[in-house]
Amino acid sequence: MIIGHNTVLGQFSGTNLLEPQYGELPNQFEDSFASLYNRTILTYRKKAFRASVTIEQFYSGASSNRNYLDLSQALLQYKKKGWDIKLGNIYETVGRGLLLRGFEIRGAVIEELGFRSRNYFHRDFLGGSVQYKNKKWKVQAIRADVLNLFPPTFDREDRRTDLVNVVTGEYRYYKKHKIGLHLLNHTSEGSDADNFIGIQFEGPITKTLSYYLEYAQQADDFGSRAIYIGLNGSVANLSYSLELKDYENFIIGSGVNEPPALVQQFTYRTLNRSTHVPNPFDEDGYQLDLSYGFKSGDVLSFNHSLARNQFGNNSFVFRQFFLEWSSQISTFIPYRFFVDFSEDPFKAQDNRLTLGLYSTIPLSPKWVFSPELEWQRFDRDTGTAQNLSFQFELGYKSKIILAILAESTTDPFLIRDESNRQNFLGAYLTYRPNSKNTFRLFGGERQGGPACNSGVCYEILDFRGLELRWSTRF
Amino acid sequence: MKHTYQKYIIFCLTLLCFCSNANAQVIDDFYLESTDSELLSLDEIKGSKLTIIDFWATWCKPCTKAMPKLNDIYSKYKDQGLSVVGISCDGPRSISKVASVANSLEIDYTILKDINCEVMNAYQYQAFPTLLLLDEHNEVVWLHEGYVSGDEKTIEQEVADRLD
Repeated sequence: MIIGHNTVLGQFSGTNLLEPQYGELPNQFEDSFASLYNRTILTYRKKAFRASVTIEQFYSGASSNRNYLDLSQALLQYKKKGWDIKLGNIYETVGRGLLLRGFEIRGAVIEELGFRSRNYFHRDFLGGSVQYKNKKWKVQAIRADVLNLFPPTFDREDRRTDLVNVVTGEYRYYKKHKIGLHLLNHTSEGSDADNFIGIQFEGPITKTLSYYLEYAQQADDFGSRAIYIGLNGSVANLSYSLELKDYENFIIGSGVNEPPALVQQFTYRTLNRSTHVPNPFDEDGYQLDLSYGFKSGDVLSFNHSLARNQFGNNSFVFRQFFLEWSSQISTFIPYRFFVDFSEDPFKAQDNRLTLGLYSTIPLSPKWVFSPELEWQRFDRDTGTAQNLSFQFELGYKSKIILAILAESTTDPFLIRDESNRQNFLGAYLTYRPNSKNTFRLFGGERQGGPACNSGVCYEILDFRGLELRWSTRF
Repeated sequence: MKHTYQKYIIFCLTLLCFCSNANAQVIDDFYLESTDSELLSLDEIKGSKLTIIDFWATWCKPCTKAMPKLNDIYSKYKDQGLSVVGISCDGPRSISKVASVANSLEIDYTILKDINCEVMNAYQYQAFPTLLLLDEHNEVVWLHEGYVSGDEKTIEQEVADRLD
């Protein structure tokens, strides 16, 4: 019946993510557990209309209070001729996120030690948005409750404590230049309303150089403000970007905004865990990014960032210097080598040095072998610590991928027992029988810790056991 | 409560079975800003016969490995009616690098910026990179997720087969 109506009435589609787990959290003194997480998104679209619902489910035993079945999102959208009207759960970002930022981290199912219930990691807004835009200007009004990081086992009132009203407008002049004005009213339970104002300018300075400037502050308090400036451009084969930030007492509510971090988020395992998380309460700094492409196809990249936090009389300065060389041997074996040196007082890591080598070696037209090696050392007050990470991946086109991941650390913050080293060994087997289904099986033990994805950082837990993830689209 | 779960699981499985033959998706027209600060619609930049849409991000290494290969395919087939559109899903943390990364990779095709990743979210694509091949009616005729060396041959074959 659904299929029959599909062709007549509109387009029906959906995705499902099913993830059963069996195992244990090695840091916790409890028995092994079995759990099931499932997320279904159903979408129906007909011409300018779209309707969508998201259902989340977690089950970890017959009488567990961590279980839930939740209609976590619903959306009605009308989009036509410049109009975009949305009612329900929406994602919006105002400017570069100084005032408001929603996000959805794809594939990130998180579990927090305090709640021990698994849920999708996202920050959406429950309410409505009306937007009109054309080639000259854009106006938008939003009224919504902002989702915090409590899992669906909590009541709606506890998960959405911030209410925001936003009016925002952008105007284009000289075709490529843009000015934006943003107004935000924020209320949370038990506190007075706060008003914020933001302004942004962006556009090209020359044909190869462009700028972005955004300033926001609390309407009646100059002590609560945020400035972000970005320049990017290119000269011949050299591309560059320079960004500056100055954030002062600029956390809105329980964190509905997220000013740009201006610190590179690397996908390399050890560096990703070391990503600096900005503190908009008091942070200033800059980031310089350079990339030079050689005629041979080789690329040399350099990144330097500095973030300074002042808390009372204490000053913390994060510094990072990163250099990456991307090349290939004999035209068919690409590799990347990187070296990173950082000072990270927030993580109590001094003289942090990280080296890495990644390569992809074709074994035949269909088989590929990819070794990934990383080594990191740093000084703590208690002495020197090291992290090692090795992954060996064997892939048959994109259909079947087997990866063995071994990690080891001597960081006293991460060692669980009396020994002086903690080891992790696990394997992933990914199978894509077609473009609609992906199966990924994990077995063994994997290291948790901070993880950063799509510019947002969160914490994942160590896990030992078996986990299957089945993603399907229909 | 137990019955509710059972009903839900049965509902999901039934829906999966029913919908496994659902029609291919059609990508509706959208407006996004290019790295040249121009507001462009899909209809303005799509190919006369085929369009590749590549969802990527600057922090995604497989994405930046795939892009030069897509550029080669674009150069080879653009005169036969192929267009390639890269849609960056970089958020506020990394959106400033989109233009410089595309420049350093010497990408000739159009790169659009989608700070909220609205287009990708609207069609529920989950992986980076996700590559869509659209026909002249914007219908998704082929989809590919991820990138490993050698995938470019499969992509080119799909393009060539449909341009013949």
